[in-house]
Amino acid sequence: MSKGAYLGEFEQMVLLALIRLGENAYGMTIRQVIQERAGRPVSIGQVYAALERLEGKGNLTSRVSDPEPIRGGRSKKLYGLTSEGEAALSQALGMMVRMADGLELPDSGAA
Amino acid sequence: MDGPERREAVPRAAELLFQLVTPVRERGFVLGDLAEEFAKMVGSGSSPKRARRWYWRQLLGSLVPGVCRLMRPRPPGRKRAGRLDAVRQDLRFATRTLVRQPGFALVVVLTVALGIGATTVVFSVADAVVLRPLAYEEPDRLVRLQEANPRGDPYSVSAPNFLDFREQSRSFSQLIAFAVKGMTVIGSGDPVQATAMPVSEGFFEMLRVQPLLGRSFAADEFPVAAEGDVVVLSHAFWDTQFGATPATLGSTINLDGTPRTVVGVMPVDFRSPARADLWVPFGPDPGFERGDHRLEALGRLAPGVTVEQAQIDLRSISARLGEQFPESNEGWGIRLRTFPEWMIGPDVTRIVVVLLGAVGLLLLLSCVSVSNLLVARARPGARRRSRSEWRWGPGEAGSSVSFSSRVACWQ
Repeated sequence: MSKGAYLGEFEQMVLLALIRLGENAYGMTIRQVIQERAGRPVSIGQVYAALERLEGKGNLTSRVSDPEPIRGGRSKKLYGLTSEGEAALSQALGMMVRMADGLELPDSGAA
Repeated sequence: MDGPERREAVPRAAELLFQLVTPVRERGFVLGDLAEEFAKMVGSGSSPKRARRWYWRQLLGSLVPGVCRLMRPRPPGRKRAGRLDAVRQDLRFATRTLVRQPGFALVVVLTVALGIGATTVVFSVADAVVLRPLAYEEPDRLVRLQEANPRGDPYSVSAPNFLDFREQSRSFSQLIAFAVKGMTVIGSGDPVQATAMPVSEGFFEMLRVQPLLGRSFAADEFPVAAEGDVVVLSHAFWDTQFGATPATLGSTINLDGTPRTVVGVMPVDFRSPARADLWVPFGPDPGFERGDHRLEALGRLAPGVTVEQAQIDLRSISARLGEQFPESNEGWGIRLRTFPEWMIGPDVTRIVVVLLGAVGLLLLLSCVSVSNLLVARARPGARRRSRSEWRWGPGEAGSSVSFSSRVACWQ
């Protein structure tokens, strides 16, 4: 596996958020999902930096949406997962599962 | 008014900073996302203050990733947006390469600093030693006159001899005498000790300087064998003792128990041939002992007269005086030196000029060295060849060389 196929923790969270959001994945919504579900503060700058990195690795694609159908409506940069991204995410998550397999871990306290 | 459409004031300063740390290609999206979330927060009941605080936190959290992205190389194939963007990119490249190669940046900064520092130091010395003391019009036409005893030792001038020189010589536009002495000044406050310079007629005219305030001395203010009842103050003395108030002009101050009227204040940059706080007019005493040499004499050469011609002229007068007054003047001569010779000396001038030339060359060499370093770094393949020496970065474009040099100089 090439070096670019490895995903950091935050990159994994971004890709998972992308899957969760589907067609509505753009900077702000990705940030909100990560913040809500991971429970940690995330800045928009961190999100866009990770998105650019992942796009550079070929893990996701982006497209600019049509302007919103309101006066002064803006375009958004929407993101979608590529097959390479799916494979990298599966690999990363599978690795963690395998690492934790058979271990009795203390309760994380997560709901 | 409530609702997601409400555009509560996004913190303008934070928005501007966001623009700076966000790549142009994403700026619209990022600011749009932030504005949307900000509006939703306000619309959902958050106070505008809390929403603005959130906006600022977003900025703070985005600074590091934003700057890191700006420093990252441009993705291949992406075109520049315009001239300003090109300048920004060059600046970014220059900063990035210098930050990534601290050794290189240090060498450049030290090289340029050495050149600038040495030049500044030597010029400061030259300015203080050579340029400022000669801050008069045509200083090489100003001369100092001294008498010389039969052994050739220089002496000050006696009052009667000075008056004879002034009366008989045709080589000077002005020939003046001065003395320096301490005086007790009582003005508006406590008595202070000041350095006074009694000067004969034509002192300020000879130096071709005008007072900043008021006037210099009039011809009828030089009594014979006495000091006049007017005074001109130096700018520093006027400032420290009289608070630089214009009302000082025309006021009466007490000098050694004698009331005198302040008629002028000299400019702040006026440099007297001898340090003085104030000047008073005086007339040399023709009845004074001819062998008592107490006055300093200065002169400005008349138009067309050389120093050698003036020397010949004064020697002939001195010889006549020797014949007339053999007890005091027999065997005495004169010594004439221009202001540059007197105040600086030819050796010092030569050394300073040589030093100035040397540091000028040093500055030039340091600039050439830095240029060579930058050109070598920008040349294709230089990194591979030079890595063992300097760990060069990749040379991206020739235009970036000048930016690197400028950024290095800013550091």
